[in-house]
Amino acid sequence: MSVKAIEISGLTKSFKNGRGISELNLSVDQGDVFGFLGPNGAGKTTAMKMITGLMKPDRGDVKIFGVSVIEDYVNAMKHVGCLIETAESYPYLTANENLKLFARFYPEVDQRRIDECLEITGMLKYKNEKTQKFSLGMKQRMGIAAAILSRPKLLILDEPLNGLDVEGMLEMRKLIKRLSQEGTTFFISSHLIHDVELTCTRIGIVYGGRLVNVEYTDNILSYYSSLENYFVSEVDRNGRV
Amino acid sequence: MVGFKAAFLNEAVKLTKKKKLLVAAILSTLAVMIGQLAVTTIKHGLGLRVVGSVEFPIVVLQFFSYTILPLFATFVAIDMFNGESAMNTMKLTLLRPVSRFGVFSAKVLNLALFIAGILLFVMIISMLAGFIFNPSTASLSGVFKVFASYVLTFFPVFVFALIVVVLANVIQGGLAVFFLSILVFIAFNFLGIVFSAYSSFFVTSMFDWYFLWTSESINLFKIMRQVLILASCGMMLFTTGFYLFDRKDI
Repeated sequence: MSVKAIEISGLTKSFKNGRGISELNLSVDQGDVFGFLGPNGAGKTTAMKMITGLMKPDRGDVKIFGVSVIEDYVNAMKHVGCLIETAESYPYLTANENLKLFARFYPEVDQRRIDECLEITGMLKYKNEKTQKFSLGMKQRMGIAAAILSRPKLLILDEPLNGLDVEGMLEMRKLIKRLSQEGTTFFISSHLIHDVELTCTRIGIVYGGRLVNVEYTDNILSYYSSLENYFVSEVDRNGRV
Repeated sequence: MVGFKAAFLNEAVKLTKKKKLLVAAILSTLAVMIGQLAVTTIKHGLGLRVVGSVEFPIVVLQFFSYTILPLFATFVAIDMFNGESAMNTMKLTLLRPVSRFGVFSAKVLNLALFIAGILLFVMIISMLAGFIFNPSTASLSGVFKVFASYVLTFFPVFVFALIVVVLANVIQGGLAVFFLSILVFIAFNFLGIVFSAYSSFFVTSMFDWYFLWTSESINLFKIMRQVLILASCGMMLFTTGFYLFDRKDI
């Protein structure tokens, strides 16, 4: 049995306002394109932040390729690329300089790879421009370029299509398909349910801080006409009017 | 180690790309120039020799270590922690394969290098100014005293910067940290005067502790006590700062 890409056990985090994540248990197989869905405030970003170590859980553990994020963060994150919450960059640096900073963490990443990532995301022509003048979509493309820079085995993307134009969305969808065929595992949260339906192979729905269901997209679509119907039915079933 | 090295180099790149370094250098140069202008004016106008070539850098240091240096060290410390949190760029480093200890150490080491770099810069230009305008009073022992004074000033200023680092990891807003740091600076100076017997515990009163080392009669016991207090304060503040940084949810 191969090692799971992500293995979450009993992950719990509660905030003062009563929201958070409660007893999240989930595993993502290598090669999966996992869609993490849920209404606003359900706890998707909180879960993603705990998976990537930005937030410390009250309880539970996350293992990435068998390595605990809490016990051995450096090795757990070695093969992970992330885009969490918002795509940020250092505004006083150019796109190229930004990626050069990130490249220092990966000895195998050179200037050619940086240019390749900028090319993939359509940002090569803005390589020497400072990112402070970038639009939301351009910043998002930069965030994606930074996430794929080290050729990670696992990509954790929080709302990767945020701010992208139609062309950008189509390119992003193609990129996910291509990388997943090459063996990259994806863990994606998105509000754009149609895109999730087209790209993700497995879906997990989180509601009120709890994981309410995990199912393969093919199975869902054999019972429901669309992922949207499945999502609405699951959310309704779990108490939302 | 790869993670720490990358984080350290990245912090250095970020520091050099910001205007604070340039502003600090310009202000330091201005302070030295104004000081030398005043010394030269008094010398030629009143016929009084205020300071010699190797005394001038010490006079500059006395002014510099209580004004521009702690101010810019505070700016840089706030920028490294509160600034990055406010701009949401802290996660850019933390999401890479590097431990939080590595990131924290890289930031603190860059802060130390900034303080050391500015001190070195001011020492060189003030010595040059002193030698150009008062070449007759130059001496090798004087140069050594100047060098020792600048090196020794680094330690208390760095410990003060660590206080700012702790505050930056307790309070979210950069502006609040800045004003609180100024309050701490004023309060420490005031308390150092009022409770002079305990002044060693208020780190700002040690900004001129190089006099202990460079005076005619050296009080070894007092120097040893000050060294131990500085070292222990530094270690405690570094550990507290890291503890707070490590627990922080981004």
